Amino acid sequence: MSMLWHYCAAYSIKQRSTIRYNGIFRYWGEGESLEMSDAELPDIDLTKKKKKKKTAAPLDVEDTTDQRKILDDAANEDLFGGEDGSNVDVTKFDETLKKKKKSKKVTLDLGEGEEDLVGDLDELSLDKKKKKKNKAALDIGASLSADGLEKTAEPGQKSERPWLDRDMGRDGFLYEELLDRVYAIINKNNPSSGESSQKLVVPPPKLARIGTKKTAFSNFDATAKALNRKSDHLLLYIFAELGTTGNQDASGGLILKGKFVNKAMEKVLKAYCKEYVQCKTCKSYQTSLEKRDRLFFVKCDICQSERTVVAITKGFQAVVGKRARIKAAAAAAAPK
Amino acid sequence: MTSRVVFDNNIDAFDEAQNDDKCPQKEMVHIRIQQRNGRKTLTTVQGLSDEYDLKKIIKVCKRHFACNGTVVDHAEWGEVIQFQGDQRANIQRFLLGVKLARAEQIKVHGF
Repeated sequence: MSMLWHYCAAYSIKQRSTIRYNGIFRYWGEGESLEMSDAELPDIDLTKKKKKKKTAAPLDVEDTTDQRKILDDAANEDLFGGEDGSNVDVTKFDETLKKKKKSKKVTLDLGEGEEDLVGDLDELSLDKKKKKKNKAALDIGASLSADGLEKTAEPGQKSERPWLDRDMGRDGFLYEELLDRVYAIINKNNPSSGESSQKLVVPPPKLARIGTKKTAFSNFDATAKALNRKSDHLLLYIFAELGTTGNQDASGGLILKGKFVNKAMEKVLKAYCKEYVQCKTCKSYQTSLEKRDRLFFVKCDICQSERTVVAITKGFQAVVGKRARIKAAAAAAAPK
Repeated sequence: MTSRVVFDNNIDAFDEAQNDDKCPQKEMVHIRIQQRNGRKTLTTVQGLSDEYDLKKIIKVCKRHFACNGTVVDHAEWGEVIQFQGDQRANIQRFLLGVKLARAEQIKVHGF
Protein backbone atom coordinates (compact mmCIF):
# COMPACT_ATOMS: atom_id res chain seq x y z
CA MET A 1 0.00 0.00 0.00
CA SER A 2 2.86 2.26 0.57
CA MET A 3 5.91 2.94 -1.43
CA LEU A 4 9.55 3.25 -0.57
CA TRP A 5 11.27 6.43 -1.43
CA HIS A 6 14.90 6.46 -2.11
CA TYR A 7 16.56 9.72 -1.91
CA CYS A 8 19.71 9.53 -3.89
CA ALA A 9 22.07 12.18 -4.98
CA ALA A 10 21.24 13.26 -8.45
CA TYR A 11 24.68 14.47 -9.26
CA SER A 12 27.04 11.64 -8.55
CA ILE A 13 28.80 9.66 -11.19
CA LYS A 14 26.16 7.08 -10.59
CA GLN A 15 23.60 9.34 -12.08
CA ARG A 16 22.19 7.62 -15.09
CA SER A 17 19.30 8.13 -17.37
CA THR A 18 17.53 5.11 -15.95
CA ILE A 19 14.48 5.63 -13.84
CA ARG A 20 16.35 4.16 -10.93
CA TYR A 21 18.58 7.13 -10.40
CA ASN A 22 16.63 9.80 -12.14
CA GLY A 23 15.72 12.41 -9.61
CA ILE A 24 15.92 12.57 -5.90
CA PHE A 25 12.99 10.34 -5.18
CA ARG A 26 12.71 6.74 -6.06
CA TYR A 27 9.48 4.90 -5.92
CA TRP A 28 8.94 1.26 -5.57
CA GLY A 29 5.37 0.32 -6.16
CA GLU A 30 3.94 -2.11 -3.66
CA GLY A 31 7.05 -1.91 -1.56
CA GLU A 32 7.12 -1.79 2.19
CA SER A 33 7.60 0.94 4.69
CA LEU A 34 10.93 1.22 6.41
CA GLU A 35 10.01 -0.82 9.42
CA MET A 36 8.61 -3.57 7.34
CA SER A 37 11.65 -3.77 5.15
CA ASP A 38 13.69 -3.89 8.31
CA ALA A 39 11.69 -6.76 9.60
CA GLU A 40 11.97 -8.58 6.34
CA LEU A 41 15.66 -8.02 6.03
CA PRO A 42 16.60 -11.63 6.52
CA ASP A 43 14.31 -12.54 3.65
CA ILE A 44 15.57 -10.04 1.20
CA ASP A 45 19.11 -10.31 2.40
CA LEU A 46 21.28 -10.31 -0.66
CA THR A 47 23.84 -12.65 0.69
CA LYS A 48 25.46 -14.88 -1.81
CA LYS A 49 23.32 -17.92 -1.20
CA LYS A 50 20.16 -15.98 -1.76
CA LYS A 51 21.54 -14.57 -4.93
CA LYS A 52 21.98 -18.04 -6.29
CA LYS A 53 18.37 -18.71 -5.56
CA LYS A 54 17.29 -15.59 -7.31
CA THR A 55 19.25 -16.37 -10.41
CA ALA A 56 17.99 -19.89 -10.22
CA ALA A 57 14.40 -18.79 -10.25
CA PRO A 58 14.14 -18.13 -13.97
CA LEU A 59 15.75 -21.50 -14.57
CA ASP A 60 12.57 -23.32 -13.87
CA VAL A 61 10.75 -21.33 -16.43
CA GLU A 62 12.81 -22.29 -19.41
CA ASP A 63 15.25 -25.01 -20.23
CA THR A 64 17.29 -23.07 -22.71
CA THR A 65 18.15 -20.57 -20.08
CA ASP A 66 19.90 -23.32 -18.20
CA GLN A 67 22.71 -23.59 -20.66
CA ARG A 68 22.99 -19.90 -20.93
CA LYS A 69 23.28 -19.60 -17.22
CA ILE A 70 26.06 -22.13 -17.12
CA LEU A 71 27.92 -20.23 -19.81
CA ASP A 72 27.26 -17.06 -17.96
CA ASP A 73 28.54 -18.49 -14.75
CA ALA A 74 31.69 -19.61 -16.44
CA ALA A 75 32.23 -16.17 -17.83
CA ASN A 76 31.56 -14.72 -14.44
CA GLU A 77 34.03 -17.07 -12.86
CA ASP A 78 36.68 -15.87 -15.24
CA LEU A 79 35.94 -12.25 -14.74
CA PHE A 80 34.88 -11.84 -11.18
CA GLY A 81 35.52 -15.08 -9.38
CA GLY A 82 32.95 -17.53 -8.14
CA GLU A 83 29.40 -16.68 -7.22
CA ASP A 84 30.24 -16.82 -3.55
CA GLY A 85 32.96 -14.28 -4.13
CA SER A 86 35.60 -16.66 -2.81
CA ASN A 87 38.24 -16.03 -5.40
CA VAL A 88 37.25 -12.51 -6.27
CA ASP A 89 40.23 -10.33 -6.84
CA VAL A 90 38.85 -7.37 -5.02
CA THR A 91 41.93 -5.28 -5.19
CA LYS A 92 42.94 -5.87 -8.73
CA PHE A 93 42.51 -2.25 -9.62
CA ASP A 94 43.92 -0.97 -6.40
CA GLU A 95 47.01 -3.05 -6.72
CA THR A 96 47.79 -1.90 -10.19
CA LEU A 97 47.48 1.63 -8.96
CA LYS A 98 49.70 0.97 -6.03
CA LYS A 99 52.23 -0.77 -8.16
CA LYS A 100 52.49 2.24 -10.34
CA LYS A 101 52.99 4.40 -7.34
CA LYS A 102 55.57 2.07 -5.98
CA SER A 103 57.64 2.07 -9.10
CA LYS A 104 57.55 5.83 -9.11
CA LYS A 105 58.70 5.98 -5.56
CA VAL A 106 61.59 3.66 -6.23
CA THR A 107 62.74 5.67 -9.18
CA LEU A 108 62.52 8.80 -7.15
CA ASP A 109 64.67 7.28 -4.49
CA LEU A 110 67.34 6.51 -7.03
CA GLY A 111 70.51 8.51 -7.09
CA GLU A 112 72.05 7.25 -3.90
CA GLY A 113 74.03 4.07 -3.79
CA GLU A 114 71.54 2.34 -1.56
CA GLU A 115 68.79 2.22 -4.13
CA ASP A 116 68.42 -1.54 -3.86
CA LEU A 117 68.01 -1.40 -0.15
CA VAL A 118 65.54 1.41 -0.38
CA GLY A 119 63.62 -0.43 -3.04
CA ASP A 120 63.56 -3.57 -0.94
CA LEU A 121 62.39 -1.72 2.09
CA ASP A 122 59.75 0.05 0.11
CA GLU A 123 58.49 -3.17 -1.33
CA LEU A 124 58.40 -4.89 2.02
CA SER A 125 56.49 -2.19 3.73
CA LEU A 126 54.16 -1.76 0.83
CA ASP A 127 53.49 -5.45 0.66
CA LYS A 128 52.55 -5.52 4.29
CA LYS A 129 50.32 -2.54 3.91
CA LYS A 130 48.72 -4.06 0.89
CA LYS A 131 47.81 -7.19 2.72
CA LYS A 132 46.43 -5.28 5.62
CA LYS A 133 44.38 -3.11 3.36
CA ASN A 134 43.04 -6.09 1.51
CA LYS A 135 41.93 -7.67 4.70
CA ALA A 136 40.43 -4.49 6.00
CA ALA A 137 38.51 -3.91 2.83
CA LEU A 138 37.14 -7.41 2.91
CA ASP A 139 36.16 -7.09 6.54
CA ILE A 140 34.34 -3.87 5.90
CA GLY A 141 32.61 -5.52 3.03
CA ALA A 142 31.41 -8.36 5.18
CA SER A 143 30.11 -6.19 7.96
CA LEU A 144 28.46 -3.74 5.59
CA SER A 145 26.75 -6.33 3.53
CA ALA A 146 25.48 -7.72 6.79
CA ASP A 147 23.63 -4.63 7.87
CA GLY A 148 24.30 -1.25 6.25
CA LEU A 149 24.06 -2.09 2.62
CA GLU A 150 21.04 -4.24 2.89
CA LYS A 151 19.03 -1.41 4.31
CA THR A 152 19.25 0.45 1.07
CA ALA A 153 18.90 -2.59 -1.10
CA GLU A 154 15.50 -2.62 -2.64
CA PRO A 155 13.22 -5.49 -1.75
CA GLY A 156 12.04 -6.36 -5.19
CA GLN A 157 15.43 -6.18 -6.83
CA LYS A 158 15.75 -7.47 -10.33
CA SER A 159 17.73 -10.58 -10.92
CA GLU A 160 21.37 -10.03 -11.56
CA ARG A 161 21.17 -11.29 -15.10
CA PRO A 162 17.91 -10.11 -16.59
CA TRP A 163 18.94 -11.24 -20.03
CA LEU A 164 18.54 -14.85 -18.94
CA ASP A 165 14.82 -14.81 -19.49
CA ARG A 166 14.87 -12.98 -22.76
CA ASP A 167 15.54 -13.70 -26.38
CA MET A 168 19.25 -13.06 -26.54
CA GLY A 169 19.46 -13.48 -30.32
CA ARG A 170 17.11 -10.62 -30.85
CA ASP A 171 17.82 -8.21 -28.03
CA GLY A 172 21.35 -9.01 -27.02
CA PHE A 173 22.76 -7.35 -23.93
CA LEU A 174 21.13 -4.07 -23.09
CA TYR A 175 23.46 -1.26 -22.16
CA GLU A 176 21.39 -0.31 -19.13
CA GLU A 177 21.49 -3.80 -17.77
CA LEU A 178 25.19 -4.13 -18.21
CA LEU A 179 25.68 -0.76 -16.55
CA ASP A 180 23.54 -1.89 -13.63
CA ARG A 181 25.60 -5.02 -13.43
CA VAL A 182 28.91 -3.17 -13.42
CA TYR A 183 27.70 -0.94 -10.63
CA ALA A 184 26.40 -3.88 -8.67
CA ILE A 185 29.76 -5.58 -8.92
CA ILE A 186 31.67 -2.44 -8.05
CA ASN A 187 29.49 -1.93 -5.03
CA LYS A 188 29.79 -5.52 -3.98
CA ASN A 189 33.55 -5.43 -4.13
CA ASN A 190 34.02 -1.93 -2.71
CA PRO A 191 31.29 -1.46 -0.15
CA SER A 192 32.87 1.72 1.14
CA SER A 193 32.79 3.47 -2.20
CA GLY A 194 29.91 5.63 -1.10
CA GLU A 195 27.05 4.46 -3.25
CA SER A 196 25.27 3.07 -0.25
CA SER A 197 25.53 6.33 1.63
CA GLN A 198 24.00 8.33 -1.17
CA LYS A 199 20.62 6.83 -0.78
CA LEU A 200 18.20 7.45 1.98
CA VAL A 201 15.18 5.35 2.55
CA VAL A 202 12.35 7.23 4.16
CA PRO A 203 8.80 6.03 4.39
CA PRO A 204 6.51 8.22 2.32
CA PRO A 205 4.49 10.66 4.39
CA LYS A 206 1.01 9.47 5.14
CA LEU A 207 -1.28 12.43 5.17
CA ALA A 208 -4.94 12.19 5.99
CA ARG A 209 -7.50 14.90 6.35
CA ILE A 210 -9.07 15.33 9.75
CA GLY A 211 -12.35 17.09 9.24
CA THR A 212 -12.00 19.96 6.81
CA LYS A 213 -9.33 22.09 8.40
CA LYS A 214 -6.70 19.74 9.78
CA THR A 215 -4.30 17.23 8.33
CA ALA A 216 -2.73 14.30 10.13
CA PHE A 217 0.82 13.27 9.23
CA SER A 218 0.58 9.83 10.76
CA ASN A 219 4.11 8.51 10.27
CA PHE A 220 5.83 11.70 11.34
CA ASP A 221 7.94 10.08 14.05
CA ALA A 222 9.06 7.32 11.71
CA THR A 223 10.12 9.93 9.19
CA ALA A 224 12.14 11.83 11.76
CA LYS A 225 13.73 8.58 12.82
CA ALA A 226 14.60 7.63 9.26
CA LEU A 227 16.27 11.00 8.80
CA ASN A 228 18.08 10.59 12.13
CA ARG A 229 16.77 13.89 13.42
CA LYS A 230 14.87 14.86 16.51
CA SER A 231 11.18 15.10 15.81
CA ASP A 232 11.15 18.57 17.38
CA HIS A 233 13.56 19.85 14.79
CA LEU A 234 11.65 18.43 11.88
CA LEU A 235 8.43 19.68 13.41
CA LEU A 236 9.77 23.21 13.62
CA TYR A 237 10.90 23.07 10.04
CA ILE A 238 7.57 21.80 8.78
CA PHE A 239 5.73 24.49 10.70
CA ALA A 240 8.02 27.20 9.39
CA GLU A 241 7.88 26.03 5.80
CA LEU A 242 4.17 25.47 5.64
CA GLY A 243 3.43 28.58 7.69
CA THR A 244 1.13 26.71 9.98
CA THR A 245 0.91 25.29 13.46
CA GLY A 246 -0.10 22.01 14.95
CA ASN A 247 0.66 19.46 17.59
CA GLN A 248 1.95 15.95 17.97
CA ASP A 249 -0.34 13.16 18.93
CA ALA A 250 0.41 10.19 21.15
CA SER A 251 0.97 7.68 18.36
CA GLY A 252 3.89 9.54 16.82
CA GLY A 253 1.83 11.52 14.38
CA LEU A 254 1.59 15.18 13.67
CA ILE A 255 -1.61 17.13 13.31
CA LEU A 256 -1.24 20.17 11.12
CA LYS A 257 -3.64 23.01 10.78
CA GLY A 258 -4.63 23.46 7.18
CA LYS A 259 -5.06 21.25 4.16
CA PHE A 260 -1.97 19.56 2.83
CA VAL A 261 -1.39 16.80 0.36
CA ASN A 262 1.32 14.17 0.11
CA LYS A 263 3.12 15.94 -2.64
CA ALA A 264 3.45 19.13 -0.63
CA MET A 265 4.87 17.26 2.33
CA GLU A 266 7.31 15.38 0.13
CA LYS A 267 8.59 18.64 -1.22
CA VAL A 268 9.09 20.01 2.26
CA LEU A 269 10.86 16.85 3.40
CA LYS A 270 13.09 16.95 0.36
CA ALA A 271 14.06 20.51 1.15
CA TYR A 272 14.69 19.51 4.74
CA CYS A 273 16.94 16.68 3.64
CA LYS A 274 18.91 18.93 1.39
CA GLU A 275 19.38 21.58 4.00
CA TYR A 276 19.68 19.73 7.26
CA VAL A 277 20.51 16.12 6.48
CA GLN A 278 22.73 15.83 3.45
CA CYS A 279 26.45 16.27 3.87
CA LYS A 280 27.55 18.97 1.48
CA THR A 281 31.01 17.53 1.18
CA CYS A 282 30.41 13.89 0.36
CA LYS A 283 26.68 14.01 -0.38
CA SER A 284 25.95 11.25 2.09
CA TYR A 285 22.83 11.23 4.21
CA GLN A 286 24.36 9.57 7.22
CA THR A 287 24.77 12.64 9.33
CA SER A 288 23.93 13.81 12.80
CA LEU A 289 22.76 17.17 14.02
CA GLU A 290 24.18 18.58 17.22
CA LYS A 291 23.84 21.86 19.01
CA ARG A 292 26.94 23.58 20.30
CA ASP A 293 27.18 27.13 21.63
CA ARG A 294 23.73 27.94 20.36
CA LEU A 295 24.76 26.87 16.86
CA PHE A 296 23.59 23.83 14.97
CA PHE A 297 26.17 21.63 13.34
CA VAL A 298 25.60 18.87 10.86
CA LYS A 299 28.31 16.28 11.22
CA CYS A 300 28.80 13.67 8.56
CA ASP A 301 29.28 10.13 9.82
CA ILE A 302 31.09 9.12 6.65
CA CYS A 303 33.62 11.86 6.01
CA GLN A 304 33.53 13.53 9.44
CA SER A 305 33.10 16.94 7.96
CA GLU A 306 31.11 19.49 9.86
CA ARG A 307 29.11 22.47 8.75
CA THR A 308 26.89 24.92 10.51
CA VAL A 309 23.28 25.20 9.56
CA VAL A 310 21.01 28.10 10.28
CA ALA A 311 18.51 27.73 13.03
CA ILE A 312 14.96 27.40 11.83
CA THR A 313 13.12 30.70 11.91
CA LYS A 314 9.51 31.03 11.18
CA GLY A 315 9.79 34.56 9.84
CA PHE A 316 6.91 36.86 9.34
CA GLN A 317 3.51 35.35 9.94
CA ALA A 318 0.57 37.22 8.56
CA VAL A 319 -2.61 37.40 10.53
CA VAL A 320 -5.00 34.82 9.24
CA GLY A 321 -8.21 33.95 10.98
CA LYS A 322 -10.30 36.00 13.28
CA ARG A 323 -8.73 39.30 14.24
CA ALA A 324 -11.39 39.85 16.84
CA ARG A 325 -10.38 36.67 18.62
CA ILE A 326 -6.72 37.68 18.61
CA LYS A 327 -7.65 41.08 19.98
CA ALA A 328 -9.76 39.49 22.65
CA ALA A 329 -6.92 37.18 23.62
CA ALA A 330 -4.51 40.13 23.78
CA ALA A 331 -6.98 42.09 25.90
CA ALA A 332 -7.41 39.14 28.23
CA ALA A 333 -3.65 38.75 28.61
CA ALA A 334 -2.93 42.46 29.11
CA PRO A 335 -4.55 43.18 32.50
CA LYS A 336 -2.82 40.28 34.19
CA MET B 1 44.96 45.27 -14.85
CA THR B 2 42.18 47.24 -16.40
CA SER B 3 41.09 44.51 -18.78
CA ARG B 4 38.26 42.38 -17.53
CA VAL B 5 38.20 38.65 -17.93
CA VAL B 6 35.41 37.44 -20.18
CA PHE B 7 34.98 33.71 -20.59
CA ASP B 8 33.85 31.82 -23.65
CA ASN B 9 30.21 31.92 -22.70
CA ASN B 10 30.30 35.71 -22.65
CA ILE B 11 29.58 35.93 -18.96
CA ASP B 12 31.49 38.73 -17.33
CA ALA B 13 33.23 37.18 -14.37
CA PHE B 14 33.12 40.44 -12.44
CA ASP B 15 29.59 41.30 -13.34
CA GLU B 16 28.20 40.04 -10.09
CA ALA B 17 30.79 41.76 -7.97
CA GLN B 18 30.06 45.07 -9.64
CA ASN B 19 26.36 44.68 -9.39
CA ASP B 20 26.78 43.98 -5.74
CA ASP B 21 27.72 47.55 -5.02
CA LYS B 22 24.83 49.06 -6.88
CA CYS B 23 22.11 46.74 -5.71
CA PRO B 24 20.69 47.91 -2.38
CA GLN B 25 19.33 44.44 -1.72
CA LYS B 26 21.76 42.76 0.66
CA GLU B 27 19.69 40.29 2.60
CA MET B 28 17.71 37.25 1.68
CA VAL B 29 14.18 37.70 0.43
CA HIS B 30 11.83 35.11 1.84
CA ILE B 31 8.70 34.36 -0.11
CA ARG B 32 6.23 32.39 1.95
CA ILE B 33 2.75 31.09 1.58
CA GLN B 34 0.10 30.80 4.24
CA GLN B 35 -3.18 29.00 4.09
CA ARG B 36 -6.31 30.86 4.84
CA ASN B 37 -9.80 29.55 5.01
CA GLY B 38 -10.92 27.22 2.30
CA ARG B 39 -8.59 27.13 -0.68
CA LYS B 40 -7.48 30.69 -0.20
CA THR B 41 -3.88 31.57 0.43
CA LEU B 42 -1.69 34.50 1.27
CA THR B 43 1.79 35.23 -0.06
CA THR B 44 4.23 37.20 2.04
CA VAL B 45 7.48 38.74 0.87
CA GLN B 46 9.88 39.45 3.67
CA GLY B 47 13.33 40.98 3.64
CA LEU B 48 13.21 43.48 0.78
CA SER B 49 15.61 46.35 1.23
CA ASP B 50 14.44 49.55 2.94
CA GLU B 51 15.59 51.56 -0.03
CA TYR B 52 12.84 50.16 -2.16
CA ASP B 53 9.52 51.89 -2.10
CA LEU B 54 7.36 48.91 -1.31
CA LYS B 55 4.18 50.81 -2.01
CA LYS B 56 5.27 51.43 -5.56
CA ILE B 57 6.25 47.81 -5.98
CA ILE B 58 2.86 46.75 -4.77
CA LYS B 59 1.09 49.13 -7.08
CA VAL B 60 2.70 47.47 -10.07
CA CYS B 61 2.38 43.96 -8.74
CA LYS B 62 -1.27 44.28 -7.93
CA ARG B 63 -2.03 45.16 -11.50
CA HIS B 64 0.21 42.51 -13.01
CA PHE B 65 -0.84 39.65 -10.77
CA ALA B 66 -4.47 40.75 -10.65
CA CYS B 67 -4.61 40.49 -6.90
CA ASN B 68 -4.75 42.72 -3.89
CA GLY B 69 -1.84 43.40 -1.61
CA THR B 70 -0.61 45.51 1.27
CA VAL B 71 2.48 46.50 3.15
CA VAL B 72 2.55 45.35 6.74
CA ASP B 73 4.93 46.94 9.17
CA HIS B 74 6.24 44.37 11.59
CA ALA B 75 8.28 45.15 14.68
CA GLU B 76 10.76 42.36 14.11
CA TRP B 77 10.77 41.78 10.39
CA GLY B 78 10.32 45.30 9.10
CA GLU B 79 8.09 46.05 6.17
CA VAL B 80 6.54 42.98 4.65
CA ILE B 81 4.51 42.71 1.49
CA GLN B 82 1.35 40.65 1.52
CA PHE B 83 -0.46 39.45 -1.55
CA GLN B 84 -3.70 37.62 -1.83
CA GLY B 85 -3.47 34.21 -3.37
CA ASP B 86 -0.49 32.10 -4.30
CA GLN B 87 1.76 34.66 -5.99
CA ARG B 88 5.07 32.98 -5.20
CA ALA B 89 6.08 32.27 -8.78
CA ASN B 90 4.81 35.66 -9.92
CA ILE B 91 6.64 37.70 -7.34
CA GLN B 92 9.82 35.70 -7.85
CA ARG B 93 9.71 36.35 -11.56
CA PHE B 94 8.99 40.00 -10.92
CA LEU B 95 11.86 40.50 -8.49
CA LEU B 96 14.27 38.83 -10.89
CA GLY B 97 12.86 40.59 -13.91
CA VAL B 98 13.26 44.12 -12.58
CA LYS B 99 16.48 43.11 -10.81
CA LEU B 100 15.38 44.04 -7.34
CA ALA B 101 17.12 40.93 -6.07
CA ARG B 102 19.42 38.26 -7.42
CA ALA B 103 18.34 34.69 -7.85
CA GLU B 104 20.43 33.43 -4.97
CA GLN B 105 18.94 36.01 -2.64
CA ILE B 106 15.41 34.77 -3.15
CA LYS B 107 14.17 31.87 -1.15
CA VAL B 108 10.75 30.44 -1.80
CA HIS B 109 9.28 28.56 1.12
CA GLY B 110 6.36 26.26 1.40
CA PHE B 111 5.06 23.38 -0.65
